[in-house]
Order: sequence, then C-alpha cells, then structure tokens
Amino acid sequence: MVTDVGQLALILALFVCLYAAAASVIGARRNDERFVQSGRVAAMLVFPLVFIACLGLWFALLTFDFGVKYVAQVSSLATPLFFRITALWGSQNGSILFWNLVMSAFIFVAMLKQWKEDKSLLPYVAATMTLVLAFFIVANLIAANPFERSAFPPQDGRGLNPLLRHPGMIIHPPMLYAGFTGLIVPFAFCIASLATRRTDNLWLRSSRRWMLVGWVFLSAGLVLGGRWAHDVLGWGGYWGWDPVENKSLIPWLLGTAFLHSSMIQEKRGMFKNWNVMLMLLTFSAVVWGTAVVRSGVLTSVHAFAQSDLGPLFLGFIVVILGVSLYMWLSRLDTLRSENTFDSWFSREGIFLLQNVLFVSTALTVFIGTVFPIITEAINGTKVTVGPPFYNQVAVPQMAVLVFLMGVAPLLAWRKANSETLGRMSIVPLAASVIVVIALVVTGTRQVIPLLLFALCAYTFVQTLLEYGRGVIARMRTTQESAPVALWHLVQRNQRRYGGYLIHLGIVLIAIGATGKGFYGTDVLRNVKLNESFSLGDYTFTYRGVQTVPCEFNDCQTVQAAVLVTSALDGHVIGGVYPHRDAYPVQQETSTIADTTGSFNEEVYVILGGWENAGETATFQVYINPLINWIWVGGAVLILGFLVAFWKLEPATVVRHVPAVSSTVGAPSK
Amino acid sequence: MNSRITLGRVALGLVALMLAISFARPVFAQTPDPSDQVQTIAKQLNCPTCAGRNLADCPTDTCMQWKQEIRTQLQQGKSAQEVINYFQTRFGPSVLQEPPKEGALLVVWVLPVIGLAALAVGATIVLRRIGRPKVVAAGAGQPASETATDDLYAARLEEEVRQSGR
Repeated sequence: MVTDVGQLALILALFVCLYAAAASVIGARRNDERFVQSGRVAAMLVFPLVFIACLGLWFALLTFDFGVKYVAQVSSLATPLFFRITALWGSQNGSILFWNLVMSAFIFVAMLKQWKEDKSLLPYVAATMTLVLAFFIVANLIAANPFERSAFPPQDGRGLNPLLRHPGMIIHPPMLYAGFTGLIVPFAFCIASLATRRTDNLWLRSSRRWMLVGWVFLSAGLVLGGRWAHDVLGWGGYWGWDPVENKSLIPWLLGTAFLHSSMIQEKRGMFKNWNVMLMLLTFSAVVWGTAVVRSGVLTSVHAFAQSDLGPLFLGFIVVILGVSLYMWLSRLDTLRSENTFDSWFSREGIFLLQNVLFVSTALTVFIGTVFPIITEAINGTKVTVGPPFYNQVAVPQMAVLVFLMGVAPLLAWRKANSETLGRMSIVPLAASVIVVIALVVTGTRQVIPLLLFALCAYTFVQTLLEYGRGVIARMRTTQESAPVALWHLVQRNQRRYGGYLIHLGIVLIAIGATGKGFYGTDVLRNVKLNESFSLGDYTFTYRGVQTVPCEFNDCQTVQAAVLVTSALDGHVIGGVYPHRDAYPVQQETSTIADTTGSFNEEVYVILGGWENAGETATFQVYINPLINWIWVGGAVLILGFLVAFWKLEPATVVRHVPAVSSTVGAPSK
Repeated sequence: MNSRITLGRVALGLVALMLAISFARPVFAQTPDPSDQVQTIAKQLNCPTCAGRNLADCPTDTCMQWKQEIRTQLQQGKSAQEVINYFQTRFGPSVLQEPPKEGALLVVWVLPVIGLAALAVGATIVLRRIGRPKVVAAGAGQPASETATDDLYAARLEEEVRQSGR
C-alpha cells in the first residue's frame, strides 16, 4: 500500500517535471508571468513528491517488506535500523531514487534562492533542470524501479553488502550525489544564457556560485570515499584510479578549471566561449560517468551490478552533448572577447595554462578509464589501465598545477612584473630549500619526492604569505591589531581568502599523497605463534587469533592480536587487532584493518588468513607516511569553502574603497 | 636580473618537470624475504576478484591462491619476469597493471600527450587571435603600459609591501 503511494508519487513527479518545463518555456516565450510562476511552483513541487517516494521505500525497508525486491536485496531481518535507513542508497535502484531526491532538492533551493536575482534566465533554468530530472525519473521508473514487487516474497532478505556497513558509506554517497546533481544548476544557467542570448556575466555569477557548491560536495565525496576505501577494503591505500573514482574526479577537474577561468571572464571579459564549453563539458562528464558506472560497462569496487540502464543513458548523453553543442555553436556571435590578451606572463595567462592542464589531466583520466572498453570493442579483451599509467601521465600534470597554484596569486592581470615575482618568491623558495635540506638530513635521497615536497613547501608558504601581506597592509593603513586585521581582510574578500584556504588544503593533500606514494612500504608475512617480523622501524609479534562477537548479527568475526614494538629500542607502541568478518548469507568476507603509529606515520595491519586454529597466520602490514595529511587537507578545503561562501557581512556595507567595492570589497554573490 | 620570461621558457621548464615526475618510481622495501619478491611481482598484476586493485593489495582467497602460485614458481627457480610472462600468456595483457608500451597498446600512452599538446597549441592560436589589437575597440581603454593591476586593493597592498621591503 504505502509503497504504491511512493510509486505513484514518483510517476506524478515525472509529469510535474514535464509540466514545469513546458510552462516555463511558454511563459518566457509569451512573456506571460502567470506561466512562468506556475512553472516555478511546479519545479519546486517535484522535491516533495520525490521525497514522498523515498518515504514509501523507507517504509518498506523499515517494515521488512521483502515483497519489494529491492528491500529483499539490501536488507534482512538481521539488519540494524540504522543500516535499513541508509540502505535506501545501498544498491542501484534505490540509489537512483536517492539521486533524484538530491537533484530535486537542488532544483527546489535554486528556484527559491535565485528567483529575485536573475529573472530573465530563470524560466529556462527551470526548464533545463526539470527536463534533466525528468530523464533520471524515467530511468528510475523504466530500468531501475525500486518499488518492483516479486511474485514470491522471500522469508528473509540478503542483507546489506558488508562493504557498505561503514560510517563513511553513509555520508560518502550522498556527498558525491550532491556533487554530481548540484552541477545541474550551473549547467542550467549556462544553457539558459545561451537560450536567451544573455551571455554577459549574469549567468556566470550564478553558475560560479552553484558550481562552488557542487564542487565542494564533490571534493568532500572524493576525500570521504578515499577514507572509506582505506578503512574497509584492507589494502592500505585510499585511491586506486578505479573507474568510479575516475568518473568523480573528471567533473572535479573540469569544475576546478571552470571556477578559475570564470574569474577571467568576470575581471577581463575574456574567454567567454571557453567558459561555456567548460561548463557544458563538466555536466556532460557527470552524465557520462553516471552512465558508465551504472550500466556496468566498467567493473569497479564501487560499481553497481549490470543493468538495462546502458542504452537509456547512452541516448541521454547523445542528447545532452547534441543540445549543448548546438546551443553553443548557434550563439557563437554573442561570445566575443571584450578585451585583448596582452601577455602570457599575467594572471589570465597562468589561469589559461592552468586550464589547459586541468582539461588535459581530465582527458588523460578519461582515456585511461575508457581504454578497456575500446580494446574490448577492437579485439575482445579488456586491457586494464592500472595506477602506473595514471602515476606516469596524470600525476606529473597535477604536480605542475600545485606549482602554478603558488605562483598565480603573485601575477597581476594583463601583464605581471617578473621582479615583483622574484622578490616575493624569496621566502617561499627559502622554505623549499629548508624542507629539502631537512629531508636529506633525515635520510631522504630520491630526487623526485624531494622536488615534489619542495613544490608543496613553496606553494604552501607563498599562500600563507598572501594572508601575511594582506594583514600587514591592513595593520599599517588602519592601525588594527593582527587578528582584527586578518578578520577584516578575509571579510572584505571572502572569495579570495577562502580560495587560498582551499589551496592550502590541496597542498596538504598533495603532501600526503607524495608521502604515501613514494615512502609507503608494505610486507606480507606468514608467521608462527609468538614469532616476530619487522618493517621499517616497527617489529610485529603475532599473539594468536580468537573468535569474537561480530559487530552485526549476520556475520562471524575472527580477530588476531599483534603486538607492535619499536625495532630501534624495543618499547611497546601498541597492540593491533585486525579482523576478518565472514558473511555466510552474502558469501563475502570483509578484511578490516587495525592501525597504530603516529599522526605522520600510520601503521596499518591486516589479517590475511590463518591455519591450524591459529598456529600460523598471514599478515600484511602497510606503513603509510603522511596519509593523515590527506584527511586534514580535506577538512581545510571544506573550511575554505565555508569562508568563501558564507556571507560574513551584509553585501551593502561598503567602506574604505567604494570605487572598487564591486570587485574587491564586498563579498561576491 | 633581466631574463625575460617567455612562453617558450616557461613551457620548457614545465615539460621538464612533468617528464621528471613521470619517470619517478616509488622505493620498495628491500629485506631479502621470498614474500617480498612475491609482493613485488604481485604489485604488477591485476587481481581477478578485487576490481581496480593490484594483486598485492587484495586480501581475497582467490588472490591468496595466485600469490601462492607466484611463490611456487619462484621456488622452481623462475625469474620474476618469467612469472609475469606466465600470467600474461595465460590471462592476456589485461592481467598487467601497466599496459605494455608496445604495439597497439602504445596508443593509451601517446593519446594524453597528443591531447595536452593539442590543447596547448589550440590555446596559443586562439590567444594570438585575441591578442592582436583589432579596430580600436571601445572599452579596451587602458594602454598596456599602465600599472599592471586593475585591482586597487591589490595595488595598494603591493605598494605597502614595496615600502616595507625597503
């Protein structure tokens, strides 16, 4: 009964979407305010409708209604309440419903918040968003219906995939979904600007702001996904260049490029074509990624099972790309540059270089991801492209980007001054040299990681100095104390100083990735009871295995005890208790690591197996230097977003420099 | 110091940087234990059951059997390369983490480089076109020799810094 209501609400949502699109376009064409308003209300109505559909499915999950196929697939009588709630996005069909919920929520907020500002664009924004959502609802209804019932309801369900029973799994998919679906708003503004031929900076301001929202969700989703993989997969890593990770990274890379190149258009009226192209490309990448992963074309740790979504999504990509291309080409005349390009050695020059690298990195990742499909089409064998490919081709480009991040803030628009750049680089360069010397003294000899750490040090210190210079300048002109000056500095240009904070977060992530990538070591050992082995500065002594109560009641846990001591002076560092959980119903085993060590050096131990009731056991130990910097970097990045986004003072307050308040003083919209 | 910063020099430096990083390899533990050799080989192979992870990092039973196979073959006196070749002939090139840089598979290595080059060349061509001053456009008022920045606050900042530096 209740699930039928859910099903009905979803069908209704589809029709409301179509109505909203039609009413908006008619209203805009005839210049009839009533239709426009009606379209807006309809677009906002979709969210409650999809929410009712979700409630219907939640109800089925909470009442163990195994007659619903999806419920039997993702839960069982033994599944705890909490995981029955999160099971809504635990598998394909439900997760598309959840996707639609998040997307409709974005549409709701966009229609609510933006309405007063950009009236001329909004009917087309509403139409674009509701049409895209309509497609996903159709996919949900036709190819992935979570409400589908089985003729013979089973007594019990299969239960949630063991890998998904982790706190990271609860926040990580919603974050990524918010990242992907959030990009619909900037995309819609772009399409609307092309449709109305209003290709000035109006769409760009809205797009940029919404892009930032989608971008931060994507970033958080990527970092949390890494954390989840690190905790659950028992491999010591966090990022494996897996297709699902890649398809999330590509829109992130393109979106980052857009966030920067849009600044050039705002300040200099240039690169309008490029911005439109980037925006269209970013959203196309989202749809492409969703299609590739959800159709089961590529296998992955995170992927969903094979399904009929493939052809449907393929058709949709063609439509999105076709419409985007047509709209763009037919409006080329309105996208002329207003200014001339003076020199490569300028802010816009380096931004363009950075854009080239971002797009090229995205292209590299794309090529690596689709290569198995291509080789399979050509000669029938899937040739996988593993991490070595990306490390050799994509990572170098990213390293250059880290360096550009440090230099760019020093370059002025139009034409920069190399003397200024040199003078301002003295301190950061000195910092790099100190870091390199310190590392060499402590035993690091490899040239490339030294170079990478030096790059990170340069960019980190340079970015900190940007704050320092601003604070000193304010202290001189306004006689404020340092903290007050910092506060006012940030308040007066939240976008810039929030952006720098995001840069600092990225550098921290780069430092962590370099540490783990170049100095991570691991060892696999089979040992007898009370036997020891060593890795790095640590000695591991096997103390036995025992069966312990499992965290959930549909699994069995065997836990090993390992004593970790220092290999240098023998002092006890701690005990680690890695375990293996066997899930008989799902016929799966999950290997859960235990960690010890310090903030800068994580010691990650997994139990590979045991023989003869624990007389011998196999362990794999990873030493992950600096990996914790990655999580800290992620947190700093989100903080930076909040600084850039959250309005600290009313936009009307203008002080000191009224003439430039629109570009510098007031926080941007 | 009056060394001009040209596009060519910057590009050359950046390409050198990318090449250098591209050829970097991580250091592996070098304690002489047969397990380490197994792991070193396993790191170059894909695991059949853990999608997207290499054999060394995959804890499933199937992968443990594969590792056992590597160990057995090593004990029979095969070299690392022979073991890898064995897996490659048996399961095809898809078993390798890194596609061999030869034959048709070279494409995957070359395409990104072509992509980067094409983007860079494209950007340069477009910029040359925008850069050429057209009929004196209204609005493009300021002469290029004027102060480098259009950002008053930044200009003031820079001025402050210059004074404090003296």
